[in-house]
Amino acid sequence: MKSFIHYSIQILLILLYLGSNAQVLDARKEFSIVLSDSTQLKVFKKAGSFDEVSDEYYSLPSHLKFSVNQKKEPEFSFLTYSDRGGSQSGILHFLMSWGLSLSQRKEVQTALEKIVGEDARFMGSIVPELDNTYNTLQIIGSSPLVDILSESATAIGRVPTFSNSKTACSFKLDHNDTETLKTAIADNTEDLKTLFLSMNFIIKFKGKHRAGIYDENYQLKTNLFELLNN
Amino acid sequence: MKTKIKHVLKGVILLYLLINFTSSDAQIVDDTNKLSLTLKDGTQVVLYGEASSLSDRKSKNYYYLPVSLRLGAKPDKTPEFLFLKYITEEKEANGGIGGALLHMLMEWGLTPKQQKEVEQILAKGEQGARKKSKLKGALDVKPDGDKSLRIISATLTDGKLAPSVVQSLSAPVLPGSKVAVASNLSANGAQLLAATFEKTRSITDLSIEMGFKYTTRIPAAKGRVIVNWSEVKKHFERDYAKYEEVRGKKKRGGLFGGIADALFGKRTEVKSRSYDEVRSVIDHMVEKEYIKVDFDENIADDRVTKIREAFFDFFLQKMTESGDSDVLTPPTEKEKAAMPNIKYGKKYTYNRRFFESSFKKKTETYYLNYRLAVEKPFTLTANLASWYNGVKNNKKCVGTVLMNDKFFTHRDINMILDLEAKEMFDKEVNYVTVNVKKERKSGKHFNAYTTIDKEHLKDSGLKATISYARGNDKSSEVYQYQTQWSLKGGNIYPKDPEWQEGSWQSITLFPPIVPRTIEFEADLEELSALGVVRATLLLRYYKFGEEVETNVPLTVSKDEPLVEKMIFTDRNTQGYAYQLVLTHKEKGKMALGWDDKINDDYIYASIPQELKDDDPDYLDKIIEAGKVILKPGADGKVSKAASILDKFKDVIGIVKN
Repeated sequence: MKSFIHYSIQILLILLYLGSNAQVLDARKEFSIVLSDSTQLKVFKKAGSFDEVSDEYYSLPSHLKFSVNQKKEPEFSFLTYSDRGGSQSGILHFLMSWGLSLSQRKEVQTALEKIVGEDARFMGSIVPELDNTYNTLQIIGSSPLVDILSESATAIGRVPTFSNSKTACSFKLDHNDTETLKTAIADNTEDLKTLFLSMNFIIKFKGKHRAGIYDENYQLKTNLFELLNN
Repeated sequence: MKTKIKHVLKGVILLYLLINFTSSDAQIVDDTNKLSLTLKDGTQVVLYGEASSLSDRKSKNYYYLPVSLRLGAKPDKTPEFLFLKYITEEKEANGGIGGALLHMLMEWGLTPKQQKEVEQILAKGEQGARKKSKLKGALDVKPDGDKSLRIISATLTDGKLAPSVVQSLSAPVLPGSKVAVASNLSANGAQLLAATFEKTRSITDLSIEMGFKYTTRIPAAKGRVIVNWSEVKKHFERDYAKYEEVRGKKKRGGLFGGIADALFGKRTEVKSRSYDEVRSVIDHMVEKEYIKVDFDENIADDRVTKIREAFFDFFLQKMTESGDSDVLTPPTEKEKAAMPNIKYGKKYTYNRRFFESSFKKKTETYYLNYRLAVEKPFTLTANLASWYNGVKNNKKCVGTVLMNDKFFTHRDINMILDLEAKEMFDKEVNYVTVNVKKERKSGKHFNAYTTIDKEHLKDSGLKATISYARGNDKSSEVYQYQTQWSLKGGNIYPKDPEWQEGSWQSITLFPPIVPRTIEFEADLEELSALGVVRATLLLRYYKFGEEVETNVPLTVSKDEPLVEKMIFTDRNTQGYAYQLVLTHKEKGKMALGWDDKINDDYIYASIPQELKDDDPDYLDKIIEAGKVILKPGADGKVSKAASILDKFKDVIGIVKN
């Protein structure tokens, strides 16, 4: 018995140091729900165990957007300014969040009940793990604005793992970059559609292809065009 | 029969929990018991239920994650925020400054109103909470990393716009604890930041991010092992019967031969087995599902393998008794993998009592429920705009200041050396010292001095400055000063200088003497015709209040009709006296008599008509005068007996101050 306890503690300690865990979803129980805003939401059943049956469902991170202040205004500011010599520069600052609103959660609950029955309980968005390779907001895409924002970034916030938590970013743009971004926003150009802001997560799944638990990289991204126009 | 040996595993879990609780002072909450509440003001509050020891029971006691990042407030409710724009009267080029000070204290935590609302939601069982749930306070958190408080701002990260930024580095771990951010913004930085939060904008260029870690207990792995001893026994009995039929009384072989030996054979003939042999027995039991292992884990697969190994070792210990082999042999690969520190292979003997008692149980079930306390990250981010609207009209928080407090003013006492004097530093002046005094009503009088010498002229030019701090002195009186010159020959002038009234504009330092370049010209042909070989100009003037003489010779044979000579006369005189002395090649010196010159430094050697006419009386007179010419001292000083300037008092002395 002593030996067993010894081994078990060893294992537990290994687990303790390796451990960073999140909710586990059942990959075999995937549902697609289209919300009234036409967005498609992926919902998974929580992975059960050999001695329990779960009726809990979670959605993957969704609805990446500029967060809103108490007046419901988008927290986005692009300020251009001129110095005494007339040279124009710009300061861009925005806050972002992801997740469903209260009404959207209710919408998903109703849809789930229709699909899997009244016992289904929608628990909201999953709390994913951070992808430590990309633990800050990413600016990606083929748009020339990608380089402009990447090079002018002064601070990029960490990816929030809780829905509706915020992250902030600030940029200081020189004269040319300011003009380019200003024109792109004013004219709603195609360049906005190929610039994506993304958050990277790790989602834990069980079932389907592999035995046991496995990690899936998950990227939540939205282009600047949608962010500015929705 | 179903037997649960929970107490074994509970012991493990208890030990594990003890380890975890002692390794962290934080409360441990249940990751599966999470609530997300939306308050009336839109604030979203995440709460976790307290983790119940050794139980999956969901607690009704909840703790909230950091929320409501906001400005701190003083006891009188004044927000702890300052945005103070400042400017001086002077331009930047003249030493003036302009910019703004930003200083704010921040805290997090539910406000009393929010806390009440959360308590009500929990008590009523709304928004997913169970009825009669309770709010126990804020969750214990710790800063995530060395710099868990981050400023996100393009303005404050620009060295020119914000020359200095000072901030707390760690996010506060308790609700109501405060952290500070302060910056001295340049004029442009102040305007830019002000533009983002003074105008109608949704956010400012200043967000604060706080990174935390909290400890939550997660169900890491859940296991169940069912051993169907009845099936095991049935199999052994079948194998035994089959063996008896074939081999009679010989030792039993086959996979379970060892166990059959232990159970049914002669005790004296029981043979020890190797690790691999015992291991293959257990693997076979698992394969045949006599031992059924169910495992749900929320962790990576390789760790589950280790847990399975732990179960195997548990059975190994139960089923066998081990000892050192008679012959020292290296351990097998499997044995080494299970026991990394093992040096030699062991021998195993099946435990008859274990099997006998186990077969009586028919079925045995082991449960394992691993819960791990793990740290999870959490960030709290907010923008200044969400707080600024509440303070922008508060004069205690946002203001401007014109920095014209005379206390801090310095007045420069400028002393400029007269341009002429610069020339004299090589010839007549060593240095000049200026003493300055300004009486203050406070009694702390201002006294200072400066010295201008050749080095000063080289490094700083003609100007010297003494700064006077105004402080509390409201006296409008100007300062006083005195000058003392050090002159060639070790002269100090004046010996006892008088205090004079200064001027805030500047004072000009004039030396007590002024240079005069005397030009002396003669008609060489005329002199030669008269038999004069040299014309000497004798100059008498005041220098430092004393009569001195300088001679300027013009020799005919040198064929130079004009000679120049610089003399230094007292500043407060405006002329000098002179006498022409002609040296005749036969008659000797002829002194033509003293005359004066006012503000005219050109002297022409005019030959009197009497001399041209060879007037004997006149000649006698000037020859006699030439005989009594006295030489001055080495420094040009004239003795009292030889003094002549008093005769010209009306002309030279009249302007003597």
